[in-house]
Amino acid sequence: MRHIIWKQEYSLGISVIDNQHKQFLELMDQAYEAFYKNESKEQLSVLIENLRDYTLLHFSTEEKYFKLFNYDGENEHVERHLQLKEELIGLTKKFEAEGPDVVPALIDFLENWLVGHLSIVDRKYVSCFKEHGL
Amino acid sequence: MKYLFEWTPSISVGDPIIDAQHQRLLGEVNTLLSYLISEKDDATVANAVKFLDTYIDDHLAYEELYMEEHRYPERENHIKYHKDFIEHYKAFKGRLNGGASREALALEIEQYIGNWWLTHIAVEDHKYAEFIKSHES
Repeated sequence: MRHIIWKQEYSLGISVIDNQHKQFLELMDQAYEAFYKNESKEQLSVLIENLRDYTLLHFSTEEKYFKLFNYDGENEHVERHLQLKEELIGLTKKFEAEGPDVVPALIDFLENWLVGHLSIVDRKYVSCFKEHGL
Repeated sequence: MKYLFEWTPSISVGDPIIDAQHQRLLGEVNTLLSYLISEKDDATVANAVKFLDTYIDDHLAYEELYMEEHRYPERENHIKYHKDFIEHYKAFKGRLNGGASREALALEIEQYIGNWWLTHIAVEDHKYAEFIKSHES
């Protein structure tokens, strides 16, 4: 089993955001590990719920900064978040219906999404956030 | 089981995102309490504490941004309450890691942590909710 870890290359140089991305990956890793340890569906379900709710909290935080800083890429970025939220709801339902077997694919998907998203879409707000003191 | 710390619409702050966060927070406090009482294994308890820890920090930070966005004049004062709570929660974690009994920890959640949240939401958060309602509607 591999571990999902935050890497220096993911850093945006904004500690509040970097910390949330680290936490996001850590929750993925916990779910991944629990799957490979054959934890119960109930236990996995708790971890998937944590992952879902933390994702929402992280997105809300970024979006609150967009508002406060009048970020001009707000609409485009919020649209990406919406797409992922819908994907996430679908994946959570799939987990409820089909059980633990879907966990690795779910986590792989989320990890790829996050890494792609933070290297391209998140980078665009870095200069704006920094100008506002983050 | 009956949950001790329940979110009800009467403590809504009028913002669906923050309301959802409060529901999740209180839910997590109940979960941790039930883990402690039902003698779940240490790793499960540790994971719940860790999640609650991060969720609390990021929720409070989110709320502070929300108050800034809405120019709530008592924001600084409100942040002091948050800081006090975080200190208290850190001490709780210290006792947990230091091997305090499950009973003592459960009692602390019942008597302090859960009640702090319910009261803070109903009283302090209610104040910014009222301010925003009266200034923006």
